[in-house]
Amino acid sequence: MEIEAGSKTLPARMKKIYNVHAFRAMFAIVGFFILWEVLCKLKFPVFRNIPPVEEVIMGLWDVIFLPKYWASWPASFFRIISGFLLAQLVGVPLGLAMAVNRYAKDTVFPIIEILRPIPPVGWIPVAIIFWPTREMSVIFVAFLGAFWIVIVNVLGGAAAIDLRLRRAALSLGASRRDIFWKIILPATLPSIFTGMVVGMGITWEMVVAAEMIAGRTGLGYMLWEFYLTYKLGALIVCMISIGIAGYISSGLVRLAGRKLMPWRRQF
Amino acid sequence: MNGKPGHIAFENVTVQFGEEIAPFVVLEDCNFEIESGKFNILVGTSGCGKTTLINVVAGYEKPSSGRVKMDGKVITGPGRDRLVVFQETALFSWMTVMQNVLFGPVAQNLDKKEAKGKAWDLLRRVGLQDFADKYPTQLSGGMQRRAELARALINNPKIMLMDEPFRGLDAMTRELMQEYSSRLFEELGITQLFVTSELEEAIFLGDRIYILSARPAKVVKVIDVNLPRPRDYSMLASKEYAHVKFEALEILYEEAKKSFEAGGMDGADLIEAFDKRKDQLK
Repeated sequence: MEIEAGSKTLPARMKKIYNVHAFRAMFAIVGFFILWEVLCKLKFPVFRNIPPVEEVIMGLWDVIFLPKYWASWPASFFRIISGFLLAQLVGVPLGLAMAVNRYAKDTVFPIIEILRPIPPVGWIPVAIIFWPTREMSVIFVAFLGAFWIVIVNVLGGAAAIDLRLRRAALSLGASRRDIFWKIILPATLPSIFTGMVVGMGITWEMVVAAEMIAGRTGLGYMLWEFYLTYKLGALIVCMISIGIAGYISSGLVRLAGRKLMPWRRQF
Repeated sequence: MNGKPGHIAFENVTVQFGEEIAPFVVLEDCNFEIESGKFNILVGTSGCGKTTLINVVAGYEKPSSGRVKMDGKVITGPGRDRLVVFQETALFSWMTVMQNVLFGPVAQNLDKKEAKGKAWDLLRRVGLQDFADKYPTQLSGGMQRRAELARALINNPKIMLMDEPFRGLDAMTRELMQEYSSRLFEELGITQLFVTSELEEAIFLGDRIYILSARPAKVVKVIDVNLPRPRDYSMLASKEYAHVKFEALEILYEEAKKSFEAGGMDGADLIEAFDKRKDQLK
């Protein structure tokens, strides 16, 4: 953060810093589009086949008036939220159970380690066959994407807890329940949230992939449809939409993290 | 043994790790006692086993053979009567200072109001009354140590176990903390078992210094520090101080040399330097 000299009050100073960063961000984005346009017009090797910026803008015009496009946002978000929440609700308790209970770890961990390397996209055929509806299949694939991330981060976070913290708690008279709820859980929270932020990104990847292959609605499906109908401008708009949607999702996770972990100054 | 609590006795204590065939022996047939109500210092070179000694008294590790007793009772595990202050802060970073201090009483389901009153008293005593709602990461190193002291003291321990608690602090803060610990001991009279590798710190703080050998650790010498209390830094210039320092240094050099030699003769030139230094002392 830049240090602004002078006797400005803190809020005023923060506002000025915020504006500088926002300005730079806008400048970079505009510069990015200008560069894109220039490279397309100059017919650089790769950029020859990529739609130039005005085609993308025309695509935007088409897409805005397409109700199907706007319907695809809630469709995708529903799958994202369902898959993500399920992964956290199953993964966090399971991970913590494995961290504290040797028996649980010895039985569950090998199965997880065998299944984890299978990329969730590889689960799509099984998901289609196994689950009664397409919706469930997509949510299942999203769930898997985030689930492995959660488990790895919870186990890693719990293992990294300083031994002295447990010892200090024991000396102070903590019971086993105290150790779990007051030491292990809070100490693992930062890792859990790292898992959530990473997991959210993976969830988006999985949903888009699953929608492209097996879906009938959603941003990923729209992207694929625009490809099949060779509407390249609209396709690029769709990609940007997915980027924005993912950014919003991760931002919400980070916000939750900041609220739940007030002792961490930066997150 | 005077009437005060906190007397510790090591009876034939051996602590070893690893297989029977090639064990890593940290303590071997360790036999000594420390006096309650006094400021006891353990001094030794790095790696000699001082931390293991503290861990065994604290109950974090069990002896492979032999036993440790406090006030006649065998130590079997951690407990509120023996509280530890570690080298690096063991404050719970997700709790405020006040919540940290209250941890012990809350874990024991003691009356919260009374505990809070005691907590405020202690925080005032350690000078942290304005930082009660701050998180440990917002405090400096010295302040974190003081918060840990408050967290321990609220439980009325019989003995305070300190494992090089001032190690990471800068020289000024370190001296202030030493003075502070001295005052605290003089005021409260709680038995102290303090581990340090800094000889000056040991002499300034202690009533009795136990010098440990190289690994496996044994007590090779016990030196009484006959400086009056309350301790003052001007005492560093006194004859008694110089006498204790000389006595201790001789033994420490021997032990340091032994632990160095144990690691092979590669450090022959360093051992030579040790010998030269020792001769300069005379």
